[in-house]
Amino acid sequence: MKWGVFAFLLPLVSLILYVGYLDHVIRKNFEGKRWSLPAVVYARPLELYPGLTLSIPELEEELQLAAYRRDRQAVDPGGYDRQEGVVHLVTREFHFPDGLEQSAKYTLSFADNTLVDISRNDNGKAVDGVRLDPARIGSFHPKQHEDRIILSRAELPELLVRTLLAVEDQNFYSHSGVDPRAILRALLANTRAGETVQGGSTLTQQLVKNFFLSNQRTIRRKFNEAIMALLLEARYGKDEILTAYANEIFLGQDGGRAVHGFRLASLFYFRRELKDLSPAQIATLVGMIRGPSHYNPRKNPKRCLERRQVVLKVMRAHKVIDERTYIAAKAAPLGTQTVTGNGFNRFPAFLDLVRRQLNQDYREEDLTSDGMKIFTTLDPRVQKVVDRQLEETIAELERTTGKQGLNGAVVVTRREGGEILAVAGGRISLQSGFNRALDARRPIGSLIKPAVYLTALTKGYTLATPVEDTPLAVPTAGGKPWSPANFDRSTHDRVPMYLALANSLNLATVRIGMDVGVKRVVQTLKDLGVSGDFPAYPSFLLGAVSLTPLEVAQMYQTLASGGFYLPQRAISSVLTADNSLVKRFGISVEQRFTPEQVYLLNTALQHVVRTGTGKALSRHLAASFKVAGKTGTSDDLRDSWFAGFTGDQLAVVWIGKDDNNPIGLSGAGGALVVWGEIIQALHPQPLDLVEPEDIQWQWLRPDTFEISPSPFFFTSDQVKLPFVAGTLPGKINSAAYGPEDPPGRGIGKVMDKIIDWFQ
Amino acid sequence: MSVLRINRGRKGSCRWLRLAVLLALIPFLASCAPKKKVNLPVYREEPPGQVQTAPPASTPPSQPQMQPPERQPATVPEAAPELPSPARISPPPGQVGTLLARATKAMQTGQLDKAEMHLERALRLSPREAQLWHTMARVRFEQGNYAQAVQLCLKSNSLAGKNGAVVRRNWLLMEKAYLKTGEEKKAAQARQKAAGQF
Repeated sequence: MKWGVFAFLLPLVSLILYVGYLDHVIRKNFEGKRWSLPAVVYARPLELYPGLTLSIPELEEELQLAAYRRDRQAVDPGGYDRQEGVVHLVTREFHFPDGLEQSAKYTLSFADNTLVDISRNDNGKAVDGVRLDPARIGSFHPKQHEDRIILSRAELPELLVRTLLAVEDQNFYSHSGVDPRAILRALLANTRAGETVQGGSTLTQQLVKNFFLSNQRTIRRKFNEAIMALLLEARYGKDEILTAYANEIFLGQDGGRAVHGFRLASLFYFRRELKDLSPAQIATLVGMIRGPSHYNPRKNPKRCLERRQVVLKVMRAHKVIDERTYIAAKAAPLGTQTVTGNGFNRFPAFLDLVRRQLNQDYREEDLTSDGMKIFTTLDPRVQKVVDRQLEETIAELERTTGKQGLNGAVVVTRREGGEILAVAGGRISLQSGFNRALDARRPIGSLIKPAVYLTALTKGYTLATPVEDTPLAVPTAGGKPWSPANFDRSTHDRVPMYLALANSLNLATVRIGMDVGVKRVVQTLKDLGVSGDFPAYPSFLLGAVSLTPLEVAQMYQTLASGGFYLPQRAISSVLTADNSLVKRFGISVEQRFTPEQVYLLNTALQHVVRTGTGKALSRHLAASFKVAGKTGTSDDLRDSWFAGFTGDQLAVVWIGKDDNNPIGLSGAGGALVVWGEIIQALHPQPLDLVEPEDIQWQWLRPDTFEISPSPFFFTSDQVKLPFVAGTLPGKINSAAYGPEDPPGRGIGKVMDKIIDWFQ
Repeated sequence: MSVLRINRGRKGSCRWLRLAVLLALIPFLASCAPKKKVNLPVYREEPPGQVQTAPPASTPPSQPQMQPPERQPATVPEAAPELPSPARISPPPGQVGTLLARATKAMQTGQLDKAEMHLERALRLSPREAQLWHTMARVRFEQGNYAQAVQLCLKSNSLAGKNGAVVRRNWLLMEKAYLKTGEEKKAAQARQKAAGQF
């Protein structure tokens, strides 16, 4: 008797436990966070305003990148049309970190590559500006690379729902998860045909299959599928199941990313919101459920069209559409748009930087599962110019020099604000991997010199202070003395300090550096925003310090912004999936140098480009742009650098080899060329330095060191230089540091007095 | 037609199964109710002053200046004069002006995050507009970040050129900020600088 009860109970208890286990699986996956939503990364939004330098083709490039489609006539959101001098545009509604921007139709008028007027079509009024919804430049996926945009039940168009039910599950609203008669019918049809021609699965079963189960076709899986479908129906409402299905369904592959859900599929295939789709387009999507790859409208348009016509017939038969709509839809073309590669990591080097910044604040699973929206500072137009110019110019340099295997890196930022606009991590932009802009730490050569001269300016030097550019031997601890030489082995008796920087004279620089003290120069580099531990060896003065292009950009940023240190930013804001602000990377500034000293230094950096080692830039940019910049070359021509800024942008370019072999190019021969090509293509603004209050201009004869408030007569060789009031030269003797004069003595004493006097 | 067409299934056939399964499971399921993982986003303002704060290189003039006795240590912060509204300086034209007006309005209604974002937008269009930097300083002041308010005023001054009205406002705001941080001497010097801008 006892055993009998046991024999009866054991299977029952097992069954109950097993079903309970399945129920647990369902609830674990279906409740709360149902999908791992990748974090989505956006470029900066394009701001359109009258007066903006922008040609129609450039605008069109931006629009294409933001997945806008060219229509014959712009009517629905995300569409534009283009005529002579005019673009009509319907923006998409978008949730920005500062609030919702509604969709609206605008007319943009252009003249001479400039946007001259914007007006709203609904009221005909001119507007001050329009902000477009930003391009999606990438997403951070978990391993399986599923991508989707979640819709609620209310957002599912009724036409789609009715079509879906008519085609896939007509009894959806009455069955309880499994539809036995549908199975029976399918079984019969399949037996008759000898192969699988029909499925008997309900939407619920399909959802269960995609959501919880593997793809094998076994009896056990079928059993699990049925039990779980019943459980799902018992636990959740029809609408919830339908919505989950619409978001889960797999509808195609975009390179490495799997396109799931109707909303993403609609954007991916038609560049339209789901709610704006025509009946024919809805029929196409529903038809694809059967086999997203088999019926892919781009790869197999004929098959896809046939399938769509079948679906349209079903729609008509079930009175989802009327006869007239049917006839019109049947005649419509597929209407699929080309792939833009939109949304899938077009700019790997920049995304790498974004990811590293995020990893400081977020765990990996937050980034790949919470659907966060990350607003970055990337300017796609700048990035494209950078990618193109770096690749082309390096190829050109290889042709002209005969050197092979050159590589490079570029960082472009906004001059004020410190936003990083573009990052190139190598000559082939789509190749991810070694990100040279962030990871290639190379000797910066003469790029260090502004730090030396800035230190000198804070210690009482002026741009006209005479310095000796003659050989010297610097004693080193325990070794033989260090005897640097100029790049071209030349020597000069005495040169004014600005000219020593403009011509990048090593001997003069070392003399100045030894006079002010290497430690001070190291501190200046740190104040410029480069963190690290740098031993204060004399060779530091000539750039025996290795930095990444990004670090160099930070260093020059402080100069470009007038002595204010601004932490560089690649991310501006982070929103949650439901658009609440979680993190802001706001502007912060810190004054590290006085405006006067930086003004003097930047003026000298303009001389570098006007007459010094950077003068080859005139082949790319007119002198009227007044670019401030500096060339850099490491020992044996292994690294070629150029760093500089215009009125609105700062860029750093490095060219070299991954194996660190010589490339035979100086800073001016390699990096400067890339820099010039990039900036030339970016509509730069001229660099007009704001003159601080206490500046006085004087004329200098570099040969005699004579100074005059008015120009000298009959002298062609003279230059107008700024001075801080009260520091006019003539009072400072030459910085005469020789080997017999250890730093801090001799001239140093005079200097100290002068510093005391003017502090 | 390859599409499924199936008649309405009889509901009764599987309802018993569903009920039986559920009844059998009630005690079991009740015990394993899922623990919802609440993962509320926490708003975190990136502290703008996260950089190491070295004393500003040029803040107050190092030359000792004569201080009017009645201006001696103002201990009550409220004693500082009200800042004139930025609307009295002619606003920048076009979209930048529109965004500045929006930022000012957001600031007045206490929406400091919004004000900040409008200003950043405006700064992207016109990064060297001293008025925008000044207004950003006011936002930081309202946010209680007095060190950044001072720094942004200095930044604004470095771009203001001959725009004396903006420079004056910057010094007045710096005075207020220094009073908040208890640096009375610097506050007095800032006030003098402001007075010098007439």
